[in-house]
Amino acid sequence: MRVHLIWIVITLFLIPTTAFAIKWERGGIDIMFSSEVSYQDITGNEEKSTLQEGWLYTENLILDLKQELAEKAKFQGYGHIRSSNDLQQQIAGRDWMFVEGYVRLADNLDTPTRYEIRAGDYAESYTPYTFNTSLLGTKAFYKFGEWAKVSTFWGKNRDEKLDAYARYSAGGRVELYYKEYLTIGGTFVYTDVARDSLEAGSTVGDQYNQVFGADLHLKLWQDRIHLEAEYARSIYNADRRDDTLMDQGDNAIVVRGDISPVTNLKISAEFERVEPWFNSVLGAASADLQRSKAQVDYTPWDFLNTMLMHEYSFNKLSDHSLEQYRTHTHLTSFSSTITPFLKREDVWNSLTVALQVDHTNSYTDDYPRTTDQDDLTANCTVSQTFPQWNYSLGYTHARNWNRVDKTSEFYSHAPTASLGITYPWLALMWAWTFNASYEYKEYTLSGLIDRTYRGDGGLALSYEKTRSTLGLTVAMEYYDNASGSPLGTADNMSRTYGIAFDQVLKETEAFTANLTLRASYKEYDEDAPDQDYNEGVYYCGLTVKF
Amino acid sequence: MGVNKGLYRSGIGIIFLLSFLISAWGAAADEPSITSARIGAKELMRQSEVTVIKEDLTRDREVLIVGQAQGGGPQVEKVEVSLDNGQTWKEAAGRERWQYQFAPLPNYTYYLTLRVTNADGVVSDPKRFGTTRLTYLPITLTELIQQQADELARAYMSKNLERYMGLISRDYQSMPPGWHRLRRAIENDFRSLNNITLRFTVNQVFNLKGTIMADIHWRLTYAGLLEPKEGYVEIHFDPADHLKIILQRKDLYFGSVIIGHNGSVLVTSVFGPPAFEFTVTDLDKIGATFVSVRVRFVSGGVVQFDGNVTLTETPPRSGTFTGSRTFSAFPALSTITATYIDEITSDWRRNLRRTDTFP
Repeated sequence: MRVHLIWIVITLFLIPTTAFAIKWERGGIDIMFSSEVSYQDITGNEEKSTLQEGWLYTENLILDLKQELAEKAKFQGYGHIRSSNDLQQQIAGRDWMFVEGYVRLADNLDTPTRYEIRAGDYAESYTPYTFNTSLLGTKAFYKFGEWAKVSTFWGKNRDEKLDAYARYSAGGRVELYYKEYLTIGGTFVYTDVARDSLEAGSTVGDQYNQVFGADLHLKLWQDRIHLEAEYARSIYNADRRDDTLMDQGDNAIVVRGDISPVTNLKISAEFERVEPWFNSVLGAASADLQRSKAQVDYTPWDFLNTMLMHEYSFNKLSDHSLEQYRTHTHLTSFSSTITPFLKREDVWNSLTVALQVDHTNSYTDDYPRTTDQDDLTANCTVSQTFPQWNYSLGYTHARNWNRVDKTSEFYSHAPTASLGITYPWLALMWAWTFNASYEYKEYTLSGLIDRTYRGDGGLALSYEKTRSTLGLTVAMEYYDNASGSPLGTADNMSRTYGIAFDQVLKETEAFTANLTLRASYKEYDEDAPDQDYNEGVYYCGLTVKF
Repeated sequence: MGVNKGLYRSGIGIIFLLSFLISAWGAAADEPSITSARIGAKELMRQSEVTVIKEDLTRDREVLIVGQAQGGGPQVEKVEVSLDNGQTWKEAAGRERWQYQFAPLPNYTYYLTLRVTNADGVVSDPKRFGTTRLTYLPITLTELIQQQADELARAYMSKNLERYMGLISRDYQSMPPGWHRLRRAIENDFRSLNNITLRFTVNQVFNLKGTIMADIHWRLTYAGLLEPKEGYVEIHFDPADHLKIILQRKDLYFGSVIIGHNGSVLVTSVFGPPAFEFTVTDLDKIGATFVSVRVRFVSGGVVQFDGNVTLTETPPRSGTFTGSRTFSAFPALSTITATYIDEITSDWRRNLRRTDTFP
């Protein structure tokens, strides 16, 4: 640990001499290095704290190389390495880790429009039913004029050792365009777990899945009508080592559209059906669910926005479903934003009142029912912004009716308030924030009451001339857990105090160095013996970028 | 009478619809207006709040606003930009296609509005564009996502449901599917957990079209947990909606995934008709009332039954769940397998499958 402290001190002294830019005519390399050292001191019941006692270090090194090879050929190489003994910063307890790395070639590095080839860590988003996640591998796309785009990828899970299996994925997508009105897409993606990579602790079998998808996006009537549709079919096998498991095929479909016949009105509708055996390739689709949704957004006047939505959904769409009974859910939502003095030229024009009411009703088809409940939530928030301060006042009421388990029925009241003040004084910029909230929750059958009090406040002081920022925070939370109940957990209170100092040591176009010093102290008190603990964190961090 | 009432209602509906259409054509009368305004990939039109970070600046460390305007018949004469809600105006470069750049102050909020003047001297009402609060934060995208993740952790730790759900997009997709289902899952967590400590570390951030995808490590403890839980969650943030969350997958830090004890499942035969009883013991599920196990009945190499069986907590709040199922016949060489998933991740990556087979 002493080595790291010495390293920070040495770096601080080296800053004036290392202030140079690694740039050349058609490229350059950005180097960012940060070194952080902290001491964490935990007293009392140490097992209740997530922090580690003792000295911790974290070092990050980021290299970002950019080179223009030709007018339409730009290269980037990026690497991020981290060394740490902090469990929060480590992956699976490793002291060293390659956080991210890739190389890529594109016509434009900020927003590639014609082509891109990338290898290393990447993310790709085709459609929700087919593929939208990150992998380790390679991806590429090429756009033919303004009428077609072809994309492809290959990759595997990033951490084979951690997952205890290797899963390979590959696929491609073709998009055809007709001006800006119509886009038609076709996608094929598959994923396959390598059988020889499976270990005794592997939590998946020899899994195989492939998805075919077709989608359409249509804009009509000067952008007043939008129509989107997607169909996908998957063929999935959970474990090909098991002869009794057959390939399972099912479909997913979504159709959504909206129309704005007038500028202040939008009517939307959506239908989605994802059959039980449908499995997207690491996608986000919700399996075994059919839902229909209608929504109206209406702004009758500039100062009033309203939204009304209703959605009905159910699961167990077919015999393929694993569920024994169907669950129906109705959601109704209303929201409105009112700025009553919008046209005034004074501070009242920012006064905003926001209302939100949500009602959910869900029940199962079985008898006696395993689910049968209603939830109602109503929220009202008033906020206003002045030249040097702003405030927000809110109130939320929630009510639950549970006809299966009466003991969990409750209602709650939760007022909130927050205040922000920013003003210059004594050549400093002062920024104060205060938040307070209270929640009262009563279980109707037992009469048990949960109360929660929360409050926090902060001050950020910045001095622009020396680029210094000083932050002070105080937070306090008190939970009165089911008072009077022998089943309730013990009441508890936490208090947190913090101070942080950020100093820009040097900032030029080619070089920046920031120093951060931070200390925080948390006290946790519980109304039960031997449960209290305290956490002290003392932190020093240096970030150098050139 | 009923028909008349129906006609009357239909008539009122048609009148409303016509009034909307008429007002639409009225509102769409040719006036000069801004048709687009962006900073990089960030849309400014109809956005009340936009945050600009280091990656959004030009090489000269300036904010570059690029847009298009139309004169409503006559040509565009000039486009003007105000950064103080219309108190002072600066002329942008260009006409139908225009741009404006300025050096932003860090942590300062600008009130951006725009207006267009056409060749006839008609000036558009700045309120047609509205006011966009533009704040420059001198941080990188990774740092911005870390701030958002910290805010999420604070809301979860303080069991502040409204604050937590305020960070979730109403278009939330999974897991679980939909904003309201997530709200219920979080509410259940807050009902059953105390003294929560949750920390996020952002490892990778990918800026894709329409979404920011981040791989985030989390570490969690709460009262009664024997040792901290940890995992990797992939979170998608919506850059057009205050970086609200639209998707969470992989190792979830909330909902039914939170475990501290290893569950177990037991299959036993019941005398009499060929029935089997299934028992799950999982102290993490105390008070859950119901859990389900997946049962597969294979006879002669053919799957006769493959589905879920719901078990009921007996006695209440015991963490022990029992249930049974009767089969019409149970010939020799038949097996029945019950699988209980003790942990659920959205891609089935780290599930703990507890399986028992009979015989």
